Amino acid sequence: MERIFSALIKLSLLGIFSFTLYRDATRSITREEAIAFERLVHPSLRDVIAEREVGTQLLRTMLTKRTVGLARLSEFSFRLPDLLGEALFLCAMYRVGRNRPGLILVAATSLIVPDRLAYGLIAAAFATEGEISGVAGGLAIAANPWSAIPIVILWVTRFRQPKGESTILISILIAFIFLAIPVISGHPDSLRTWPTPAADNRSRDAVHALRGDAGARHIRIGGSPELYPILNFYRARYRLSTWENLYPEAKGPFDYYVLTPAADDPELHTIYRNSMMTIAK
Amino acid sequence: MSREVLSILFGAGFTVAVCRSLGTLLHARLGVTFHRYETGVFEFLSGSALLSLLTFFLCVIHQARAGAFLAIGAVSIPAALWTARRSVRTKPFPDTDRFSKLLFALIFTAFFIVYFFNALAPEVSPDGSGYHLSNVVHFWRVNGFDWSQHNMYAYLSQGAEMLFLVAFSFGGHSAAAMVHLAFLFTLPLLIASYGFRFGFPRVGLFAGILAFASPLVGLDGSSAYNDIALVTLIFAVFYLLQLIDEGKRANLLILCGLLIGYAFATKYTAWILLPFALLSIRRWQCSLILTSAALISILPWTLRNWIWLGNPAAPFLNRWFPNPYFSYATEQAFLSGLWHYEGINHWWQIPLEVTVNGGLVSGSLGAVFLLAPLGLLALRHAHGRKLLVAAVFFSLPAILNTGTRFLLPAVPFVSLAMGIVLADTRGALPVLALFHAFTCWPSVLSLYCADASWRLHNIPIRAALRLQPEAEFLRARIPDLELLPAIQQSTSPGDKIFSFTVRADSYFDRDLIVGYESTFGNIAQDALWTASGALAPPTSKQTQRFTEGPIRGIQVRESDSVAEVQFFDRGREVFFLPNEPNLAFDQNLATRWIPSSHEFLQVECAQPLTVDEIVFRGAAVQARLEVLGSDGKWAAPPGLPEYSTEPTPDLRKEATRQLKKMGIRFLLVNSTDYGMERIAEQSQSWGMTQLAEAHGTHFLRID
Repeated sequence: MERIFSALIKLSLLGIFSFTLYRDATRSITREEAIAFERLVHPSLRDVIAEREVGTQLLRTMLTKRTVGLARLSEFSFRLPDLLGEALFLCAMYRVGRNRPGLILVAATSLIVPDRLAYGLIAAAFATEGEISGVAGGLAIAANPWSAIPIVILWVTRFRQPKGESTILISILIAFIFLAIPVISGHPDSLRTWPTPAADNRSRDAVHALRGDAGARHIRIGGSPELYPILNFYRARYRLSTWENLYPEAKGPFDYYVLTPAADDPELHTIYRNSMMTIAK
Repeated sequence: MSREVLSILFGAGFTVAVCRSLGTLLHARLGVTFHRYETGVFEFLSGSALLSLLTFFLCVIHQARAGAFLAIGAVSIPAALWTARRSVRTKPFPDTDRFSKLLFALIFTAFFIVYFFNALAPEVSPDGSGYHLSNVVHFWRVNGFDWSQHNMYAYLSQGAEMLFLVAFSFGGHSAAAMVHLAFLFTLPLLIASYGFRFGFPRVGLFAGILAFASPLVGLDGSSAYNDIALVTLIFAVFYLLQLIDEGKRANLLILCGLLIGYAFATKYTAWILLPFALLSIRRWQCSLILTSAALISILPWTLRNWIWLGNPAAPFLNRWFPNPYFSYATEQAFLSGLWHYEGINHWWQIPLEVTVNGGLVSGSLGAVFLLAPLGLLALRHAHGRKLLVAAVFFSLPAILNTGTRFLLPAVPFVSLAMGIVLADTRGALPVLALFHAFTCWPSVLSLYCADASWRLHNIPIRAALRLQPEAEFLRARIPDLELLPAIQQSTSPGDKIFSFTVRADSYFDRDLIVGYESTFGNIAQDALWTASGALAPPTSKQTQRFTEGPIRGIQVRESDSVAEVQFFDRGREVFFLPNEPNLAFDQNLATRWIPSSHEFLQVECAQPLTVDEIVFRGAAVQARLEVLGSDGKWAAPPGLPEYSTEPTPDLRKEATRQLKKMGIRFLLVNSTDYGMERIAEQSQSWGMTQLAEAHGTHFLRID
């Protein structure tokens, strides 16, 4: 009976993970994610640090750069660190499954820190012991400083255990390595958290429509400032060299205009429209 | 390799070799032995104390020349080699894990290269090319102390500069910097030895890396400063005190005392070493030996200043030892400038500035030192407690100076304390050491620290090897040097040039009078500031009328300053010749008498003077006057004074007249100097001619 129960849990966790994976791979990039890409992932790490942009996101930036580098730029590769966090979270849930207070605590952290990589690492810190727990705790704080709240709770509970002090020191050191310099030298804007994917805005469909209409022609695109980062992301994602410089403005002599739906213009011929954006020429 | 580079390397190498050999001889004489790794560093340090002392005496008798230094080397080096050959080979320390040693070696080598080439390159550090080597150049020119030199930096103890002088005699500026570099290389070896000696080798290696790779330590140590020499000496004294504490060697007391004295001779702030050592020993016989040995190096400098200036602690304690060269008021103004943070609005900015940003505190120690509070956990260990007490004790001078440099003496102790805490955490020491080395590497550091942070920017190999002309390298970093040809053409050696700010005067072959560095400079600075309107002009007038008859003197109290005191008899000005020259009686409104706290102006004249009116002029005079009557009694004159305000006079030519009277005929003024923004376009009104200008610095001649 227990084996069947265990298999069922495994299966349901795998199901959750598969669903998350599918969702991350198919959902269009959001504006916030596109801004994060433009600000942190697209430039070199050296530039990001020199421009004091990285703030609390050094770990996320490094991980995302690595996943994007390994798997080419896509919505999936961009969200892969989050997916790893989700996987860690599910594994940790399974591991602490028999310990009900632990399970509740781990589940609760996902509410406190709505950041998949961070709560995955927090869960890993709770589910493991000794130095590995320390490493996971430190990385969780590095991924999202709010993780410090559950991690400190963990420290308090484990301080008296063997290697308790080492665990805490490792966490402090790792969090320090990723956070100290970028946070101290970063400008206040850099302290924002990593965006979590929201509802699908179907911007990928819009870009497909634009590519379909423009073909291989060299085109000049003027976009509403708020849509500009998304266009830039997809330009990089599909390596659209025929898209000449994108212009973060909606007025001027352009071949195409990517506008917010509210900015409708009767002189333009609309080729695509959704709740998020209108593409016209 | 060019001849110039060879002479630099010879100068530095020779100095270090003589230090080491004198140390070898001293250790043999005292019969002290160390472990193999300790021997070299302690011999170098104790030998440097001896060579500094020898050079001091050569300076006193004006025989500090290359020949004399060669003679010392010719005697000491072969004698040391002979002694070393005869001595028993000492034991090495017990070994530690290979990985820690390899990591230490790798990081040490990488930073060694950075520091070596920076030190070998032409000296461009502000104080190095300024007063440290300027003093050395003065000594070198006259083969000894230049008693005519009157600026506050010439009065400081110059134990490190004595070694610089030896190296400078052969290799110039860079050779001096390379000698300081030798202390920098000694520091991590000493810290590592400490770890090996007291049973925590990995901690010692870790702390050595932390101290060595620290950005400010690297920059300071590869410049002709003295801070790292001081840090190394302080740590060496602490090290020896621990050995003495273990009751191992009585003769170590003499060695320890010698190093305490030499640390004081290097920088006044090391005076706290003596009370620290005495508190550590707590046995009066030992204290006596230690103090006596320390005085060997302390007394020469204090006696020099006492005899030369009348103030053994010059340029400080002028209240207790008043002298004509540096006043108490100027001392207070100078010190208050040092202990105030500029641009810092909240206390919590200070640790961030000291460790990461570095822009407002002249350099940073490295982000790792933000973890210094972890070191408090070392209080659980006996060694940790000692290290933390030392860290606090040796940080005390930082209260007097906000520059991060003044926290450097605490760095080895804090590093070791942090290491002790982290030693039991697997991987913590190497990870943190690597992180520190990476984040302190010059090109990485530049990515995140403040632009104004004082740091090494790169590895100037071409400049170091003199493949890039020295003049070109210097001009790019010290813009004032563009004016050097004009200065040399228009002035002759011995001419005085006034400046409001410090300059790289070791490269100028002239006497630079800096406004804040002496009473002499203060008078010139005050006159120029009063005339430019940077100080309140003397528009306030106080008139005191009386009919008592002739007077023989006056006393002025409770006045901020007095620009001029004038005496009238029936409307005709009567000239008062005081028995001592005073700026309030010099017929020049641009100068002023400024009282120190509780000081008042009292002047007397030889002959009684018949006056019916005394006029005080100044910025805001409200003087309480007493006059010395012909009956020899001081009394306040009857009647109330009258106060009035006069139009602002044009005192620009009066100011330059004063400078000329003081023997100053040239000025170096920056457009950014306080009150001097328009001096170039108004030079005619000042009675000056601009001779040259470069990068906003004007070279002017008083016509």
